Amino acid sequence: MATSDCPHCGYSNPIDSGFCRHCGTALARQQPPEEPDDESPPSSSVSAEDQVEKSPGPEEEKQGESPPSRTQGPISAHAEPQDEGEGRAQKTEWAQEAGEQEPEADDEPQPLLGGLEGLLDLADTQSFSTAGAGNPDPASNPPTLSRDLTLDEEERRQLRQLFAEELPLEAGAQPEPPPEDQAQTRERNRLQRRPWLEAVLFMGLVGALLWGAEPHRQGPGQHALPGLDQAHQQLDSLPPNSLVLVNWAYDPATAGEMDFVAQPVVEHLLRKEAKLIVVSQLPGGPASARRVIARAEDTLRRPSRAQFTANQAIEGGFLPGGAASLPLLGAAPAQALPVDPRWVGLRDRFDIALLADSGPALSLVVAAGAEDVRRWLEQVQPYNGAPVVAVTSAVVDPSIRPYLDSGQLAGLVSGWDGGRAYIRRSERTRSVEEQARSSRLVSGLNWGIGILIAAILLGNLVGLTERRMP
Amino acid sequence: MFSSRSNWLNRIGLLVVAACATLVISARFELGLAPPAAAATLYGWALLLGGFALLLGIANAIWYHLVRVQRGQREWVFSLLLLIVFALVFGAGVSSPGGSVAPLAEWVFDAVIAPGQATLYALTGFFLLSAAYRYLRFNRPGGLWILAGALLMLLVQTPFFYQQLPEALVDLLDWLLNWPVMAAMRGVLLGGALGVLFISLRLIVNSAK
Repeated sequence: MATSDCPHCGYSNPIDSGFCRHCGTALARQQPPEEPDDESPPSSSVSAEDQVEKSPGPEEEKQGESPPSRTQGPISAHAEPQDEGEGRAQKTEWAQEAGEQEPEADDEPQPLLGGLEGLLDLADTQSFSTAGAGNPDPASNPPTLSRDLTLDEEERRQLRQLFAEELPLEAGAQPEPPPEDQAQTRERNRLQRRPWLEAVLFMGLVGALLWGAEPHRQGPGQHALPGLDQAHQQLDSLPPNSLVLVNWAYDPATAGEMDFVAQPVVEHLLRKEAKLIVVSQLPGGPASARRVIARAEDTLRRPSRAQFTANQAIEGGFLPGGAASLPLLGAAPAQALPVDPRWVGLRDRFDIALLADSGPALSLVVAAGAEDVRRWLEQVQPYNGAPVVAVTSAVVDPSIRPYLDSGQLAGLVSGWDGGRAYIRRSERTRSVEEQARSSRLVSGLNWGIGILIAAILLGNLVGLTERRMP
Repeated sequence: MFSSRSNWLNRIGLLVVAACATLVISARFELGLAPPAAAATLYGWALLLGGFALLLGIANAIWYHLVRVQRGQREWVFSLLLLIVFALVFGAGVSSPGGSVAPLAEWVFDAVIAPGQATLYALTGFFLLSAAYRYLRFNRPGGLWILAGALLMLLVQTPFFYQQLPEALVDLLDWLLNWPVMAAMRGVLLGGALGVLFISLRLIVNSAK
């Protein structure tokens, strides 16, 4: 069976392998260029298809070098062959040369999209060494990732440890400080344990306790939920048949929490006979919205069959394009709504046309992440001017409260606490089935969080105990 | 994609980007340099590009896994499974007159997609625990404070958990949320926005490296 040796670790791979089975190096890209004369045999690891893909264009041949690939990591980037005409036995040498050569100044302008990738350059492991990486003498144990491609298992383990454990030191720094320096380092670390620092934090906590002794506005034991009353008032003040543009920004992954928050708000909108136009930028969003709206309609039919809630929601569907396409919902919503006008009813067509003419009376962003609320406030709200009410998960709450304080957000309902408080605020009694479902969800989450907290504390205690044992 | 060797192509692309940016900025700030419909047209193109990119991504994934199956590469069975599931879901959506709201597509969503996504997301707790063991340690510098803050936020974000806590502690947690955390959040928002603004400008003037 024909094999090809990996230029990185030397492992013999099958000839058709795209990547080394031992270290994962891309074999096709790692091969040195063929010698220009016809006597040299072709490399055994490059398949015919890869030869076609890798054959340089006329300009590349003129320049005599392959273009740098920024998508490769530091290892493969430095392993790109620079000098033609060297055999495979000299791979280490040409790789070392490649690592030592400074890139020449290029008069050509940078590629148009090159900067995009350059924003997050991969870590250059060549410029780092680790304090705990074995031999403290950098002269006898230099950082060898890119200069010496034959890393043994121990060096790879140390490299993994470098990224897994502590931040590496920059090249040139002492990898292992002498005992005096260690004592100074420990002394510096104690800066964060200084009594004055702890005293400031303690005083802050005591002040918070004293300040927090004010009487509750929402009754004892209530968690502060700013924005909930404002959200309720916004929805309650909607006249019948108001158009509400809904951005459904969660899918089944977070439906366990979000359904519980979204359903009371959707029920409120349906009770106010608002017309919902629902769009989503997640593929699973429209289906999730459909289920919550259907449950809300079922709930509303129960107390009084006279309440007609059908056909109050227009499914706008999936809106691709991310943040770039969102402004279209504000500037020209009739163009943005991904529905074919022939598929929707006549009344819905009028509603969509009305949305384009006068804009929505309210925008509702139902999101599991803060980014969706921010995007809406920045990309859509300036165009249509409609007040925005956010319905979010609990973790989003701190991130978007500044928008609530600034008035950009007209209301906020967050987390299961917010959903439960909204139900109470709506003065709606929950059915036995709802209460049972809510109880199951809450019990499950409480148990999960409780176990997580206990596991973290126990793990820390066990870790402390083990370190103190001889 | 564009290359440093095609200088004129880069410059044309840069001009197109600059023109689009001018149109959008003009529409956003109502400068009157171009009719608002021009910016709306550009947004519509972004919408189309997004949809087309999605199709391209699907085609690329299918091709990649087809090649894996054809070559019999490692774990090719999973690639075959992915292709079969894709064909079934795609067929269910296309063959039904109701499209994505057809009963078969709805069943796939309820019985496969929704439980799968929820299960994957539920694994977050285990990752969180792993990260906590790695970074939230008593003996790290400042680790005790980070650990205490993380536990407090877990407590305060847990529904109904706070009802078991003393009232003063609930107020303390709210105070922490409303003042120090909010101050930090505003700083993060402001700093992030400024960073994005400057990076965007560097990209537009082609000086990002």
